Amino acid sequence: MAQEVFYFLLLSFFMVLFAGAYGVGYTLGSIKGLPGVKFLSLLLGGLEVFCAILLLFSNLLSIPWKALILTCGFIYFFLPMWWVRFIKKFPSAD
Amino acid sequence: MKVQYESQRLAIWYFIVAIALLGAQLLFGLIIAYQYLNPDFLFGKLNFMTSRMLHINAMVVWLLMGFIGGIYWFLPIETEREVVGIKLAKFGFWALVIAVTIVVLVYLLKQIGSADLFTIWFITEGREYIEAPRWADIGIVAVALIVAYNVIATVLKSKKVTGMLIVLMIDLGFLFGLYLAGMFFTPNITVDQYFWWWVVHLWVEATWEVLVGVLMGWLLMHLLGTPRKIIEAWLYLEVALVTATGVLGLGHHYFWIGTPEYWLGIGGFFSAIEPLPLVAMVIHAIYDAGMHKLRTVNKPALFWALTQALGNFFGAGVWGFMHTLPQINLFSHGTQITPAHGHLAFFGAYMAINLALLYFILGQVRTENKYILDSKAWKVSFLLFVFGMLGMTAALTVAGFAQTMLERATYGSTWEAYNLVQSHPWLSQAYKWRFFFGIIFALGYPFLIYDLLKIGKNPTLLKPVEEELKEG
Amino acid sequence: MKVGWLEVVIATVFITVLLSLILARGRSWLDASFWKIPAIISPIVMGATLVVLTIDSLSKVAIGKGRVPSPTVINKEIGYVYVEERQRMEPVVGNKEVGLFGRVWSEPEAKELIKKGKLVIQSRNCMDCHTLLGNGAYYAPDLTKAWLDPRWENLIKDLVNAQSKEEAMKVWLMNPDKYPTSSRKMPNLKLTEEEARALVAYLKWMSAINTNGFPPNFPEVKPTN
Repeated sequence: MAQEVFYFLLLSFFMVLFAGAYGVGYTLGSIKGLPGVKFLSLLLGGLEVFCAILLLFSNLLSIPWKALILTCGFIYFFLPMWWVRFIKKFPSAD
Repeated sequence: MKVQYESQRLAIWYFIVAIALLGAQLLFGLIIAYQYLNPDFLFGKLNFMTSRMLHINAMVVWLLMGFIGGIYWFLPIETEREVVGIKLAKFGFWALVIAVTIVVLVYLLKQIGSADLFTIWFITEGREYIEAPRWADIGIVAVALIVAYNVIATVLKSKKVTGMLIVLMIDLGFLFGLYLAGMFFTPNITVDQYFWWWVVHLWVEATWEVLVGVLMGWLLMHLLGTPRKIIEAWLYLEVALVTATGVLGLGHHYFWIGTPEYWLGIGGFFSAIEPLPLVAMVIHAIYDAGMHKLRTVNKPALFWALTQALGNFFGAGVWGFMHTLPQINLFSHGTQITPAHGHLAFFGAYMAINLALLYFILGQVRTENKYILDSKAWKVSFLLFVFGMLGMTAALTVAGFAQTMLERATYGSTWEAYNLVQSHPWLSQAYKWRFFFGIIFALGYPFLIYDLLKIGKNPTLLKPVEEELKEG
Repeated sequence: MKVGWLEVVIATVFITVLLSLILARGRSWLDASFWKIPAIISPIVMGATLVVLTIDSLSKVAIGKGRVPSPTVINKEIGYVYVEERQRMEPVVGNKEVGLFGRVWSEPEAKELIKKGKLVIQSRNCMDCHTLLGNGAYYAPDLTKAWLDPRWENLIKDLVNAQSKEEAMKVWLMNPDKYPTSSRKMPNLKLTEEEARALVAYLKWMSAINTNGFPPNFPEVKPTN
């Protein structure tokens, strides 16, 4: 039980940590035109999705919760891409 | 000091008291962190419970005073006139300072009372964060009404009703109104905690976030020159996302307090998506900072604003999400994971914006935008604060993990299990590291004070604005 | 119609998004005026849902309505057992009238005790060292199931020379600094005997609240019938 709890905590932590790191890296890579940074950030995004998928194996979660985690996992992956595009599209008043 | 409006002079007074209270928060924080290592320290004279109460009350009051300072600074600029009722506002300021002083003295000298309503009214209410006795609650509401009056009357008189002012007014209405939810006594602890969370959660995960959104919006408008229409659009978006996730995310405090089971689902679901707006805000902050290549007329204000987005996301988003699902919170509720999350979240979400606002004000007052506000000292205090906070958070996270796995998941959450695990090496070591990093954090304070007193006063140390822009 | 949490979640999100899209139709999503709409709709929908759920929850947590027991539960035996169907631990109240402090308390008397007990907890600021229902400070143990804690019978009763668990609790609480159980001592909070008794009654009453299984893994306590 303690192990189960430990892995759950760890995976939840890393899932959002990677999501944030990926978001930061992707944004920096996009605006500075650094494809290397962008690629690395996508790797972090991949790790984030991987953590979400691993969480699905937890015995602590029932089906609706697994669905929630999976959905969150994918939203976090696409959020930086959508958001940067959204920000860029916003008309600046000059 | 050149300030354009009386209201801005008042804003500076508010910030002075706020920063003094931050010092008090740090002092009492060090005392209780040390008591974890040496429980006999001041035992019987200044017990843990009293210092802790002072630590968290100082925090709540200084953050609120900073926000009010921010409102009084930007309100006359936004409405293009002096604040209506400025004499009343100054009276409110002094009333607040006197009330806080009396409450603190009673906390320190009387500490506890007998089990009757007199104690609740005049000594302590004994409920975390809102321990202030009922008479002080009423005083706080009165001052809040004064602030609300200042804002509404000024807006009406100026006939300038901007989107940001509307959001501010509605938000302040809820923010101050919610405080009322904590002002009652009931023997039913479930009902007590139900409404107690209306104050605490709907403050820090809803109304405070929106207030910070408004203040940050004004800050960025004046600091980076971002056009109003863009700031407004993002503010509305933030209000939508924060309320969509945070209002029913309140349910993540209703898992174990005796309320019905449906809160496990509702609270767990909405709080799981609470980090999403925070990720979006981090991306936006990095984008804005990156586009401006971190070039600005006010370096510390920009850095602290950036820290706000990042700290909010990591403290509230990452550490919050880690243990928000009920399946795991059953084990981690009330362990050291909670303060690990809490310290980083408050530092990121609220301390950082207050410092950004304060530096912005100093920049306006001392350099009049002719020079780039910068110094060595703010960088030192910044690093000490950030490094100290990350260290404390890491230490408490380790302790919390061990506590969750051992005291809760293995040994059965009894008194004996608690004692056993508290002396486990992972925890006893973690408390030592927490104290060590707490000292590092606290060392940021003298550098901060030195910097606040000195920064911008000596133009020979600063770069003129044209020179910085030329380098672009 | 049985409405569960999933339905509430889906309905609120769906209604917020739908209403926002309808009311903001015609506006560009890259314009501030578009986002004004969800900024208004979202707090209204979520706030209204919160109000409705609050009314429902409050009716269910009123004293004596089931989740939060009647004060007279202090006259009964309290237990805490694992329930297989719901996969969690739940409080269970015995049928025998065993009384507290050697007597059976009437409803108005028990109500007074509970009220006094809560005033003790607040006047002595327990929440700034302990957690109650998991909320508070983390310097001292959680008190949710303090009444059921094995330590009173295993250790404290003999230490303070008491005849019953409640006597042990009362004596200990009046002089906790005399009987430390770890290097972290509880300070003497100058409890009168009446206050200590009320506090014990409160802890007993609180341990019978249905907290959806918190704390987990607790050693089972079964009432004697």
